[in-house]
Amino acid sequence: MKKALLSLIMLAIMLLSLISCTQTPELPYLTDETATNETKEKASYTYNPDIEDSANNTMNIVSTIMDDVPSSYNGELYFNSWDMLYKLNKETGKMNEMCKDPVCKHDTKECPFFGQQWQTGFHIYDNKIIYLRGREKHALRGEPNRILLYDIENGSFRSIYDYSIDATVFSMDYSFHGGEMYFHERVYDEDTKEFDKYALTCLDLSTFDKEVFYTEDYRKISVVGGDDNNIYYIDLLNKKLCVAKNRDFNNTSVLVDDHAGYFALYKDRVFYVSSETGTLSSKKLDGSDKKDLGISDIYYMYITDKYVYYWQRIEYDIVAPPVSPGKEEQRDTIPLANEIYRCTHDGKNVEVVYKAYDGEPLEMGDVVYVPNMLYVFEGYLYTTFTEISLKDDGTIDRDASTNSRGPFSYMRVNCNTGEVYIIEMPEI
Amino acid sequence: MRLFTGEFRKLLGAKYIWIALCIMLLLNVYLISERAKENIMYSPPADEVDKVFDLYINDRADFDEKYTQYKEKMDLNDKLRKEARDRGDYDYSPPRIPNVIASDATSDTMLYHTLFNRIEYVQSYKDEVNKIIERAYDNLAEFKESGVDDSSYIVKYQHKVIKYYQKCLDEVRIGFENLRGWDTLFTFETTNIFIFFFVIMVSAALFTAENQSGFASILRTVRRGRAPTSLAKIAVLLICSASAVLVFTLSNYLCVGSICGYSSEFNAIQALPKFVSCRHIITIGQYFTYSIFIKLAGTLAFSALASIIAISLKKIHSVYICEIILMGINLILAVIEFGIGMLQFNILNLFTATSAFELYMRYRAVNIFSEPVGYVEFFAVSCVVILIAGYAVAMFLFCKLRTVTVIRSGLTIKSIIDSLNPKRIAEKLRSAKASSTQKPKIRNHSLSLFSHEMYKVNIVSRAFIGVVIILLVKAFFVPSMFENRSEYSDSVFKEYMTVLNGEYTEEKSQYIVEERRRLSTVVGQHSAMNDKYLSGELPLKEYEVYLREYYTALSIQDVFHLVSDRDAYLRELNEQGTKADFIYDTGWKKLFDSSPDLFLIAAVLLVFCGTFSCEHSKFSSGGEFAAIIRPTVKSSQKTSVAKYLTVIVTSFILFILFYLQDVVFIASEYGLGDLSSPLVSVFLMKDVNVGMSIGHYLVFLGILRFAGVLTVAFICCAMSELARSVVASISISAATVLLPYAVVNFSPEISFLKYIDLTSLVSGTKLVLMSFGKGNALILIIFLVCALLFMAALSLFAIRKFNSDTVATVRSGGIRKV
Repeated sequence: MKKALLSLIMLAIMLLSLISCTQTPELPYLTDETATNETKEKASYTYNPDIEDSANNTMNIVSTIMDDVPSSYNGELYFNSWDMLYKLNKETGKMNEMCKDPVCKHDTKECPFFGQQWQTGFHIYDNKIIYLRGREKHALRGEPNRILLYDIENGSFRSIYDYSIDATVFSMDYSFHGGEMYFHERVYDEDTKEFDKYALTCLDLSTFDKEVFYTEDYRKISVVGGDDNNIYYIDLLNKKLCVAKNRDFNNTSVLVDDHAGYFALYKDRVFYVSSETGTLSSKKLDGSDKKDLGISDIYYMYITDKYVYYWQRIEYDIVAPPVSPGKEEQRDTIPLANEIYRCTHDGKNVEVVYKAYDGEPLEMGDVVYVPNMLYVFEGYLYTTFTEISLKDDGTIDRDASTNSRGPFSYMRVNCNTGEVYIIEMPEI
Repeated sequence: MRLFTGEFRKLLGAKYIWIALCIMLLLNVYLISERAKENIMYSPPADEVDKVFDLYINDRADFDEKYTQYKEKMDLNDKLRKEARDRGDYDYSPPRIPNVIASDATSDTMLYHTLFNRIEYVQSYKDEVNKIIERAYDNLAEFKESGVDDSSYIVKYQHKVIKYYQKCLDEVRIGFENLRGWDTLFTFETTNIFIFFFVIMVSAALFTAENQSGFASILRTVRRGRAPTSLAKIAVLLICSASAVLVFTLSNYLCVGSICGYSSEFNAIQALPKFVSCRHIITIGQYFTYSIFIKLAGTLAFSALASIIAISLKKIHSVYICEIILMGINLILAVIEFGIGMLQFNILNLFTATSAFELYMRYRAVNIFSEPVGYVEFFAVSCVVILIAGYAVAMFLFCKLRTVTVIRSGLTIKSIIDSLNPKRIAEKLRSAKASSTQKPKIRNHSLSLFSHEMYKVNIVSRAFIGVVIILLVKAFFVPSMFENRSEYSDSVFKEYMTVLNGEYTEEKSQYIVEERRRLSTVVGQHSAMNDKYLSGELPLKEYEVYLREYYTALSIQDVFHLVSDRDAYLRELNEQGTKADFIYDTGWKKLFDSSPDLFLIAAVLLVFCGTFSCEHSKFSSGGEFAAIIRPTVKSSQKTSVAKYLTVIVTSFILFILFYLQDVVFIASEYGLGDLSSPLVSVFLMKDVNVGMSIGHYLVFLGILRFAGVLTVAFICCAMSELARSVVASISISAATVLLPYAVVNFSPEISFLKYIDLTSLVSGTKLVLMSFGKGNALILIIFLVCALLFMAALSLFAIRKFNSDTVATVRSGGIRKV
């Protein structure tokens, strides 16, 4: 018995020794391993905190469902991407992940930001970031099912609302009004026994109690903004920008009834792009004093206390040389926005803030303003042309000719000097 | 030393422990084998992959040439596909590229894919580590800007990350080879359940044996009856726990090795994708060694806690319950989803941490007085502390606690029923103020033979504990047994079947055709819509709406063939005059086609293999109890009948419990509707065209499966008499039932064994399909009749032997089974 036991122990030790043998036999290694310690050359980053303008009295309303606008809060800038929220380090110009574990890959539920989806956006209220989290890693099908709250001050997280497996937050149009948050969600329908009824929901941000307002069709209204007194929403069926005085939506009035999608509020005035004339217009909130500011083809608009920043869609020419002697060159145009303008609130004093290089078409997206700087999302579709390619029928093949730049990035535009610094979003 | 040997011999006499160990070992082997097979199921054969790796390393020129040719053929196929799409032909499939390197078992595409994935992984390792270091530096910069104190935990954590991962960046070199085996071995955690349960059984047996037999009070009076005895017991527990760890680890290693094989153990641990963020500079072999030590540490720590419980409680029932609760707590900590930021409970529990995998896969730390302490170090130190402190406390308790005289509680079925009597309750309340000392309750009533046999088989033998464990283990595995591996395609299929639910009609078939056309149209329009948008004809908002529709259609199109295939199948049936419905049949398929419930078979083996053999065990020097039964009023014949009745009733209860688990899970996960639809609506049952509905077949299947379970139970019961030993009866019964199943599964070429595989009766549908598929319907009837005849003959033979045998076999030694 003793001998058997001893033999067993000896065998185990031998096996373990064999296994942990440190003599390394020849293993093939790849000879062209890359070790990218080098850093890319970037334009120098300067941080100029001088305040010349502000956006304290404004509300910029984005009426698209894909609300991915970055946010400014207390002078800090926050951005989002797949599975992560970022805070811009103003001194270094780098995007820092909100998740403070450098080893975390944000691909498991261990990470507070796992499942945070690019297109759902986030909002900041009372020093807290409110964002949605889904069940899957940045998958379109992984619809968000949990509302999370991150306290900027102490870095703590909490889940303030969990949805059942089938319910989701459907529309990312948020609004804050008197300590309450509004959003659209999919709720359970007793008749069909499925989660296919859409409702407008109100969440109390102090008690986290939820109240559902059912609407027959979620597409009827889209809540786009709010302050302590009003809830701004778009009547989608009738295409009007309206305001409600309370959450029962029974004390409402129409603000703009001929809009084309972009609005902004400054004190007692609303700025909008008119669907009738296609131009930038403004009027008082009571509907009086309507002014046509005389600027047309507005693609995007953002106002500050002093200026209206906008970009206009232009037709960009592309030319392909003749494929053979005697053949004609091919010409085509593509619509782009590659210039940022600004004017004062009366439409005067138009000046160029930023102009892309000739030959570098840019597609610019959403924007946030901090004093003196505009942060503009770029690289939305494509940014540069490679060799112009022709299709078999001889016309220009736009797909083959353009090169989408990735990863996504933001342009930081100095509004006074036009100087641009590219802040790249970290790769996922 | 003699004390140690004596304790060890006592433990060896508790045969049920070693039987349980064998069963758990077999179960573990089965489970890890299934896992290993699953992991290699979708991968190309390892030897083929090795071939292409060798080619890449040793003959690059030849590889480049072959790959270039392959790429040219792929480009040509892409061009052909595009041209077909431009023509409006969305179903065009270009000719298959013939294999140059791969055999028919796989394709060159799979091999190249595997190779280039590996190259990318190896080459991107340093970038990954660089990113980690950069993020840590970024965090430090941000903390500095925000004024976070340098002595805070979060800042120190960043510094530690930089230090460790910089070292990895400088020193780790990943060998380029085809990895296999190790990831399966390292991530298999189920073994811990079996090891922990074995520790529970050993600790319960060691520390309650003397109390059970009433010897404890005598033991404590002798010279070496306290501390030296406790030390001996602890030593035995330690050695048994350590041996269990080594045995299970070795069996896992051999199993995985035989199925998958192993790549080089001298490669860096970071070569395994799950360990890419490991901060240790060790090889795979070294990690294997360390993982064994971690497992030992965790198991021995658990054994220390178990010994405290066993010594404190003394009664074996209570010990089992409390120790299982302890194990359960660790299991729950491992699986429950805590709130954000509480992950350490998911990892730093005895169950998860003992696997070592989660500790090593990346750097994690706990905050000990603002100092980050790595999980590995924390766990190792904690285990040592628990081990030393735990056994110190156990020794102290063993020496100091007074003994408890075991009282026969008189727990019978009748007493339970009597306790619910209101008069009895009133009497108890009146006597509640009486003295605290309890007199032992004397059993002064008799039970019926049947109820006594039920009590013996289910309660006294403690088989119910094993059944509960098996039920819990099965509950753990049920989700993976019935998981939906093709979740997205199934959800699309479900959506369409829900819309089309009901009888097959031409309109529904037409709807499917039109839907298919619609999807093709949406996908085909992509290029044109893109052009329109770029030319400004299409506004961005409308383009976004189209894009969403396009991506949805693209993903549905890939799996729409499931709906089309179902339509084609139902159309064919309709043309033959057979009625069938559109139903979502995934749930039914899972339920009907499930493998034989090996957990149920294990429970049956456990419960019934002692039915007769318990009568032949020695309780005193007088011999077996069987010799006493024979001359009694309720003769051995009536006793045998009562035993078999017990087997029938208990089998039915077990069948319901285990079957219910499957039904409930499948019903909740997939739904089990459309009971009145014809059976052939379930595609799996396409050959069983007998005019039955799904509901009827469900009942028939239940009867068939119960017949299978009953057959197994009767075999066990009969063997328990014929072999007269629990060990022997379990072995022979298991061999009879499971050996043909194992051979059929592992060596399908020996196909004739499927006709004597009793588990096909337990599975039910397997037998039905064998009969109605390519075989003959008579096969089912013949199989059933043969099984029943075999069962009846064996049982009758056993009963006869029990009744007629007049020689009592004298048995020796061992811990008395209560």
